[in-house]
Amino acid sequence: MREEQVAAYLAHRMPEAREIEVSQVWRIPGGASRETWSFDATWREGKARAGRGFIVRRDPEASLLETERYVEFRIYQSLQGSGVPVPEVFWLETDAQWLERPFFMMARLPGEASPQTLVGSHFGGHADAIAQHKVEVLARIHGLDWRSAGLDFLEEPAPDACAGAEIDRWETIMRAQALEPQPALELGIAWLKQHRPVAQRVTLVHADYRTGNLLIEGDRITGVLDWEMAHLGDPLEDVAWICLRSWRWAGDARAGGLLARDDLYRRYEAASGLRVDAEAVRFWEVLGNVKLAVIFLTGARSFVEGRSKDAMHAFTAHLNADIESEVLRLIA
Amino acid sequence: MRPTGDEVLRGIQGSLLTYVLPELQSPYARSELMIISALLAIVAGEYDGAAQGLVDENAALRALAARGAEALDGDLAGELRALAGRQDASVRLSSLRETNEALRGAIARLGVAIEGDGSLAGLRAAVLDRLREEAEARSPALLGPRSDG
Repeated sequence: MREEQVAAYLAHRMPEAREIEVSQVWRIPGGASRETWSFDATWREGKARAGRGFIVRRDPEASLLETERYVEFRIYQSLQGSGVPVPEVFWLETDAQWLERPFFMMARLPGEASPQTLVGSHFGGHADAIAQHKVEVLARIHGLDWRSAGLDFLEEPAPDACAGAEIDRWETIMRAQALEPQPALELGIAWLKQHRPVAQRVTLVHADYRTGNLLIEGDRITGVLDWEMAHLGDPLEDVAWICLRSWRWAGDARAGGLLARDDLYRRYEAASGLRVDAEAVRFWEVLGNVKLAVIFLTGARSFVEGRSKDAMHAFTAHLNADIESEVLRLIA
Repeated sequence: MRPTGDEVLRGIQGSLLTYVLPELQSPYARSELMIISALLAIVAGEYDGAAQGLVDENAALRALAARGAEALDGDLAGELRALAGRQDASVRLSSLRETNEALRGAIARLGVAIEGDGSLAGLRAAVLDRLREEAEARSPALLGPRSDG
């Protein structure tokens, strides 16, 4: 992505802007599905000079997920003013003439998302406040009136169908993407089919709510990112996802490197008014591990078939051994 | 011949980190190089023991297949019995892997078939234990701790 490409697109989208200057175009590491780029832009509006930082979320050549950019863009739009901190989104572009592949542009928010940086600094000494805010924001997502927020384009499962819908989704992707037999995941799926919980309430589910997808500045979350897997479903899916072993960044059992499981449950119940059923969380934790493994299998296939040159797609496949172990431990 | 394959991979890893990484300015390129380096370490670690690991795993899976064949009836029992009776024809990795995939596929079907059948709880536990042992042997141990503490 080059400065002149970005400047040409801004000129197309902001015909009133003059003397557009684009700088600091760089790709942000991580994000194994959609590419994330950052840049700065300044321009003249009348007599005044304006400017801001932008983020571009561009479709990849191949990704861990064939996700729908439209869903993510619409969710960002719908959450403006909802109390859930999200960046302002500007344009969804499907014409590949501008930046080679479809993308959308949004505002760059302040804050740090890297788990390694955050955990390395002990969350700047604000771990407890951040943990509390993380729980409160999640409760706000789950308490959202998604119909009036304009999210009724998402498919609404019945409370007793949330679990089945997610099993079907990830089993289908596994069957399409796996390069070799996956006995641990097959056993996990068989177990899931016999232990489906009924959701207390059908809510918006972020589906990747974890340290790493939250921008943090000081003691606050400034942005919740990466909504590409969001859907309507069981809110405990998000609670369980936070607990996955894969996000124990601090090297101990704290969820997301922030807080103990019991503490998470207690704070979430207080903030959301929902009950945390440990067996339901176990179900969603098995599902979450299966899902993560399937995402990595998808990346492995794209790497092996040459559709991706990203070493991350080969590397993450090696993480599946630990994820399989976790699935087998949880269903034992 | 020296350097061996794993020695070459480790040497390349060191070269990348010593000479290439300091020259890279792009955070994305630096991150990609770090991942490549980690991958080289994983592949180098697997290199020497890869064939023996598959031979051992195939033997363990055959024993489990034989146990499954005894417990079941029908087509799956026949498939398990046939797989349990075969030997590795070669120690080429491609051949060992082909056998391994056939065994793992059959063990997956066995596990699914007995899920929820209380009378076969012992067999189910044996399947889970075998798969967990195999996964732990493959693990690069990069995730967080297993225990919830």
